[in-house]
Amino acid sequence: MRTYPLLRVENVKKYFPIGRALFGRSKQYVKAVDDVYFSLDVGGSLGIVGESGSGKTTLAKLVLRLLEPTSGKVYLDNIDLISLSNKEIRRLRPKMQMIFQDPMASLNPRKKIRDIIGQVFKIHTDMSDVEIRERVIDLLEKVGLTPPELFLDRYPHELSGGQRQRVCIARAIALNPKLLIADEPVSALDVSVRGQIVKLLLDIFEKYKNEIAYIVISHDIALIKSICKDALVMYLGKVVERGEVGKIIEEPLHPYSQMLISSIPVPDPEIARNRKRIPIGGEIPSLINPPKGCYFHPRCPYVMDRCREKMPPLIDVDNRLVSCYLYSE
Amino acid sequence: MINSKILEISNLTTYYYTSRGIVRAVDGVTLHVKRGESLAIVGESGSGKSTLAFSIMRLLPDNARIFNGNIWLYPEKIDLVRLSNDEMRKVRGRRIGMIFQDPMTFLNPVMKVGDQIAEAIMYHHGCTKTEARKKAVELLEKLRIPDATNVAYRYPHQLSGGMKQRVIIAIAVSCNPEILIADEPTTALDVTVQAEVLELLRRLIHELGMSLILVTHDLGIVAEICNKVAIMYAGKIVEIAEIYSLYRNPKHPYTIGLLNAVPTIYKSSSEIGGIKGNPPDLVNPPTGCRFNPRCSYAFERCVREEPPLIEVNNDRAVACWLVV
Repeated sequence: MRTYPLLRVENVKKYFPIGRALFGRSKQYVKAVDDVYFSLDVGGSLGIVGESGSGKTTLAKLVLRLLEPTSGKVYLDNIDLISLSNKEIRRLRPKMQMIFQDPMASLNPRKKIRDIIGQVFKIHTDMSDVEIRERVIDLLEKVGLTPPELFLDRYPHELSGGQRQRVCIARAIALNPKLLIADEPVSALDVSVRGQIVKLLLDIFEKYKNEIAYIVISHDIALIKSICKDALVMYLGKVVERGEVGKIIEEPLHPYSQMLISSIPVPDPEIARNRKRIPIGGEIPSLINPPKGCYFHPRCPYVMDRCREKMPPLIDVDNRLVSCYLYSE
Repeated sequence: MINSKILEISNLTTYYYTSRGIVRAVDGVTLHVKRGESLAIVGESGSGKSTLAFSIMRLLPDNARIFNGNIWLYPEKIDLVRLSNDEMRKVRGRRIGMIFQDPMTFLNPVMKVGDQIAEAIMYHHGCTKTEARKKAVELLEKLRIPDATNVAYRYPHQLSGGMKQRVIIAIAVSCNPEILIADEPTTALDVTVQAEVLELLRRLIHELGMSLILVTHDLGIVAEICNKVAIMYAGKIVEIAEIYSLYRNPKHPYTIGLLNAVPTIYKSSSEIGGIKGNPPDLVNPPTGCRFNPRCSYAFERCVREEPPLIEVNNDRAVACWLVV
């Protein structure tokens, strides 16, 4: 029995320096991810929700160590990813895989599908060409590209958007990863195709639930709700709320979550026109000079004096974490 | 003159001439918009919805041609398809305004936004630059842009995405057009900003008594602001209905599939369906009903014969053999 979570992210920060003076140290930073922590067990699923600039993609890249954090720790299977050398981390890559937003951009246009997927086995295993072909065929079947023989010798441009995303998913699960991160997996796809890919992801997560944990990043909390159990709402690099997705949608605690959820267009005119609306004030401030205190206070309808002074800590409310003074004594 | 037609499109056919062959982007579309009505044209990429919008504005690229059909603008019943370029220029902006998807590509990067709004007012009303500038600032205030006087003196790159889209809206409504065409007006924006822009659009068309043609792939946005919906698939309208009855009781299999394919916060994951296959290539569309290769109810007649758009009752027309 393991006594530690599969993934543990401890207070990671990523500050990008900007406007560096010649020879001097940079004075200003973009705090893309600021002090985020969470852990995830095998079978666990976490959605990261936020608008553009909230730091959700940066957070994913930090977790996979595609970016070096400014500070903080990431443990996968109790291995400290941050302290590993590049060579060591490369050996661990099969265990952590990512599915990107734009499948065309993440597939080599000059390679056939058999080579795109086969490559991972060539690099990370010593399988023979015959074995690799078998595995590729098996994977294509798993992601619904049937009959697989029809797809082996095609190039990415010969496939539709949905089929390309299926190839990306096949490649990501090829080496039985422990951690799978999908960054906006359906937003580049046609509306009618999105449903297919959501279903495929659900099938795959269900099939491997005893082996993997997964993270889905999206601006769309409805997508997160359909594939994840828990969610983490980010605003300007900070986590403002964390908990079960269903509960966050039903009763969002943080005023930003409330605003976000009431802004989502609902494809039902009766609900859309009769629901409660949170008045929206202002726009997302710049990350370079975030407001003092709670980053959300200039847009918040419930702002108090305290909010302008100090960033509220994440506190436990009703099995949820919320960073808002409305819920502290 | 409430409930009178303001725009009528009849059997419109727009083709693109490409190296691969003729793309039948809009293929025999008939619909009308009433005064004060908000009509949504919903479809996926490649369904021809934007081509339809650009055909109305006569802003098609060089390789596209309106092959057939009429676009009548009421009350004079002038046919926009047959207007000369000079005459069309007087319709654009003055009588039909348009909002585009990506605000950055449609604003002049080296011109102050106030001047860009004033330009349209000067052209159509023939007033002086000072007057036009004053009107531009008033418009920005009406669109609830804080500190409008200052904003008018800024360049597009100094504004946020939501602000830029509001400037585009200001330009589009600056001459009080009777019809506003919005092509994916909020796709480039974040959800919270999108909600604000939608609210603004809703208020504006109500206050100015404009008719709206909203082109989008997002059935959620449609539910927020429109009162009639036309669903387009592969260059054709497959269903057109009043908004409440469309969502409550979709009839065309494609409409049903589309409503099921999108995850919503009110749907459980088991309710998410999806439509098998992919949208067709419009160089070589399937015979019969264009949706038949993806339709789970398709039968022999669907492959052989194309279903016409048939009115089933007052507020609905469907192009499907199942409904006939």
